[in-house]
Amino acid sequence: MTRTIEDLLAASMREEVVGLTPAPDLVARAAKRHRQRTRIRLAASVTGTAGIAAAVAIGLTVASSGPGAVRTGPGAAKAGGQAASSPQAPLVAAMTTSAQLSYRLHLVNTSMWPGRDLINWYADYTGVYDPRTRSGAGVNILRRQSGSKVDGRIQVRIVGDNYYTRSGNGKPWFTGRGGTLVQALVLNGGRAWAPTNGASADPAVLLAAVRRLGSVKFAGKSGSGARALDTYNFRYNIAGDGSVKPHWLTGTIVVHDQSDLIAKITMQTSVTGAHPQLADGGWLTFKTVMTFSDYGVPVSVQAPAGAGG
Amino acid sequence: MRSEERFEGLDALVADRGGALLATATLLAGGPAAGEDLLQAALERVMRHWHQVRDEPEIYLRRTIYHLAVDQWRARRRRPEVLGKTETELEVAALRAAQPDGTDAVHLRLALIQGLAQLPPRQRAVLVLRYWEQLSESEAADMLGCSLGTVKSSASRGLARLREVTAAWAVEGTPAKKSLVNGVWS
Repeated sequence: MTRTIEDLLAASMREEVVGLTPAPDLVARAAKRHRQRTRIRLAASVTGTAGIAAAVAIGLTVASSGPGAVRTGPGAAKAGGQAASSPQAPLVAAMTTSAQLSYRLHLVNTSMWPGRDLINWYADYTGVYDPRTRSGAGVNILRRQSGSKVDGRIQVRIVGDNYYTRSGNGKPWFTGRGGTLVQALVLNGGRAWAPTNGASADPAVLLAAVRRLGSVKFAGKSGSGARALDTYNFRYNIAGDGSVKPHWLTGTIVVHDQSDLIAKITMQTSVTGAHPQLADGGWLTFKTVMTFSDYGVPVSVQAPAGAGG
Repeated sequence: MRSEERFEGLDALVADRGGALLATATLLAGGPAAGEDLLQAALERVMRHWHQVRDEPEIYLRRTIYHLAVDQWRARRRRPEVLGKTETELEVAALRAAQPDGTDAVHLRLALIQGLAQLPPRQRAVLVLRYWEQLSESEAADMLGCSLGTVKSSASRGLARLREVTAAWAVEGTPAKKSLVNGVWS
C-alpha cells in the first residue's frame, strides 16, 4: 500500500481532533468578553472624545464666563489692567476674546490602540463657526489609521439650537438638538460611539474642568511682533470608573500675543481598562489638535431644506 | 449605553457545529486549549459584527477563525502549545528510539501534527483547508483572501517541510513499512 504524505497528513488530522467538543459555556464566555470589551471601548471613546469636546468647549462656551475675565503674565497689560492671581486667567481671557468672534477651525482627533484596527482612526474636521449666532458648518472626515481609505465624510451644520449631520450629498440629514459644534462632532460626526456619560460632552462641565486645571504653566513665548505666540501647558486628572483607570489629560494652548486670540490647542490622554486581565489591555491614546484661523470670517448657514427639527 | 445584545442562533450553531469548528481551530492553533481560545476569539469577532453576519454566522465564523489564525495569532507570536517541549525532529527521533516497533503509525501521526504546528501560520492554514476541510485550491484562496498562487506555494512549502520533518522517520524506522520516495510514503 502506498500513501502520499497528503493522505497521511489528512488521516493524522482526523485522528488528532476526534471527539473534540467545545466547553458548554464557550458562547457565554465569548459574550461576556464581548460585553466587557464594548464597555471599555465605549468608556474610552467617551474619555477620548472629551478631548474634542473640551477643546471645542474652550472656544465656544467660555463666553458664558463674561467679558470681565482678566489676564496675567505675558500680555497682562492688554487684558483690562485687572490683576489675576491664577495662571488660568490669561487663558480665560484668550478664550473669552476668541469666543466672541467667528473663526475657521481645523480639528484632528486621533485614536490609537496598537493592534486594533477597529479603533485606530482619524477624525479630521474643517469648518467655520460663529459663536454669536451659534451657527457653523463643516465636514468631518473619518479614516482608519491602517490605510488612507475614507470611512466617512460627515457634513455638519449648526443652526441655533439644532445641529444637522449627514454622511454625504443626497443622503438624508439627521437632526439633533443641542446646537453646539461639540454635540455635532462628538455625538455624530466624531464617531459612532455615543457618550454614555452626558457630563463628558457637556461644554459647561468641561469648561469648569478646564478652569480648575490642576496645573497650568506658562511655557514661553515664541516669535515676535504680530507673530508672537504665548504657550501654556496644562493638565488635569480624570477620575477612573468601572471601565477605565484614572488618567491624566495634558495639553497645550497657544495664544496670539498681540490679539489675545487662540491659535492652537493640543490635548491628549491615554486610558487603559480597569480590568485588563479580563478584557483588552494596553493603552488607548487620544490626541486632539485644533487650529483656529480667519477670525471674523463671515459665517452664513441655514438649516437644510427638508430636515426636521 | 447600547441595549444588551442578543445573538440569536449562535448557541444552536455552536451546539451543532462546535465540534467541527473546534477541530479546525485546534489544528490551526496547535492544540485543544489554544484552539478553544481561537474559537472564542472568533465568536467575539462575530458578536462584534453580529448585525452584519447574523444571517450566515457559520460562514463568517469559519472565515474569522482562519483569518485570526493567520493574522492575529502570528501578530501575538503565540506558539502552539505542542511546542516548547522539544524540536520536532528531536522528539521524533526520541520517540523512535524509545519504541522502535509497533507504534510507528502513532509516532508518525504525532510527527506530522507537530510538524504542522511548527509551520508558519499561513502554510498551516492552507494545509488545514486543503487536507482537513478538503477544499480546492481556489476555495482555500477565497477563504484566506489571498491569491491562488499563494495557496499553491504555501501548500508546496508546507508539505515540503513536513517531508523533511518526517524524513528521519523513514531513514531510522522500518523501511519495509514506510519509506519516502519522491514524496510518496510506501
